[in-house]
Amino acid sequence: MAPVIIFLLFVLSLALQGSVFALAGPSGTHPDILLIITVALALLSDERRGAIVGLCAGLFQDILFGSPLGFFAAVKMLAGTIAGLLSDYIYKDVTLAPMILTVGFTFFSDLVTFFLLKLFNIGASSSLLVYLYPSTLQRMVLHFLIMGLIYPYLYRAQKKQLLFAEREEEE
Amino acid sequence: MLSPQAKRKARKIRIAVLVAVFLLLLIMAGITADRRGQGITWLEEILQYVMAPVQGAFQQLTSFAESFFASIKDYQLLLAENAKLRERLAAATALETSIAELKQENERLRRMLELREASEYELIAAEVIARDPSSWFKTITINKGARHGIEQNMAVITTDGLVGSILSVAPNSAHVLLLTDERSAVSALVQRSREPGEVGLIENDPENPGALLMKNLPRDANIQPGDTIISSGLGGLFPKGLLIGYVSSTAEDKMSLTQYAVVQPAVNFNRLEEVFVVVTQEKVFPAADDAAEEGS
Repeated sequence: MAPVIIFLLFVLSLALQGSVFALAGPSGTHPDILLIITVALALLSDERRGAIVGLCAGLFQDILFGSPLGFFAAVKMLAGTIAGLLSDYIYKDVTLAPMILTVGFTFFSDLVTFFLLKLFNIGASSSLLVYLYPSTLQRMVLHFLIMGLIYPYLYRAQKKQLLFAEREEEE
Repeated sequence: MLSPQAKRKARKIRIAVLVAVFLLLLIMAGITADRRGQGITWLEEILQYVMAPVQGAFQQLTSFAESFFASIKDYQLLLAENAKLRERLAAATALETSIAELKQENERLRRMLELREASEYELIAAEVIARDPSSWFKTITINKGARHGIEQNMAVITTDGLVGSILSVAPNSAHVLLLTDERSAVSALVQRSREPGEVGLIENDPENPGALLMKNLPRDANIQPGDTIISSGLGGLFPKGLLIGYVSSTAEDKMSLTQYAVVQPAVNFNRLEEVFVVVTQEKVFPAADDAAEEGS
């Protein structure tokens, strides 16, 4: 049941990201719903599940939107892993924590993306500052707000164990 | 329950796997980064083959979402436009009603003016300002009174015909007793024959609300349905020749001594808005006859 729900979340996120938010983004800035979902799910679980969620989400994005295969998978897996590592250090019932963290992950994700673009010599001819401002800044604000809307629902779903099973003692 | 050593080992393995996967992804991304002039890799080919239906579904979803939100946008525009049009329609309807009202008022006033100019009597125009709300009395109140020269028993007419007479007078208003009131009575004759002996008395018809009865007609009076009934002028209260109504039926009374006629009034008493008060009739008809005529 849980993989199906997460898959549906991905589908919904990509559908929204590729349609509604692509239309509504201010000055061409689109929110990365998939990143928000990845961070939120990772914060509700652990680094291993965060990594898997990030990997699947990124691969899904790469395959569906024609980006270099593994590009966003690497970025999101990294974000999911780190978010999962931080999951032990936040109060999961306080929505503000994921909201603030998603701002940091947005910056991190864009930073990594920029360096990967440079690494593979795909675009990113401008400087980092030009790349990050204003689009990353706007995205940080958008992600902060969207996380505030999404996280409480995901938290409730996790409380009912609809997303992930309880962690095993081994971990 | 694992030992701390086993836990550390498991963690190391996990980190190693993660790093390996990360590197693998980077390599894949590096391979697939520059696609110009190259075909897709076999891995991509398989994945895309598998995912093509999903992508198609996504495209449909996206198109649906786009068209859906475009429809919402259009719908919002249509709602706004609809609201504006409704406002304009309401304003136009109100204007149309107002124009129709003005036209009707204009027509009434024109006819009143024509009547006033053509009339041999001195007329005072007045507006109906109230009606007796009870069903027992048929009176109206007009906005002219003693200060305007209105006196008791003066006849009240419209362009359609006779309305009634002044019942009582206040300084700035007056009550008019309508012909349909039980207290009202008018001496009348048939316009077609105009025979002096065929004068009847117009009263209200208790069995036929809104209609009048012309009573005390000679048994052999020349009267038939469709005849026009006018005031006879006898008694002096009402000027001669004012239209009262039209005969709808005739019959003999119970004793077969006289006959009577049911008369439909020419005036619509439910739609009185402007009336004239006739002020000079006493010059034509002596006031001394009034009591005898109207008292009957």
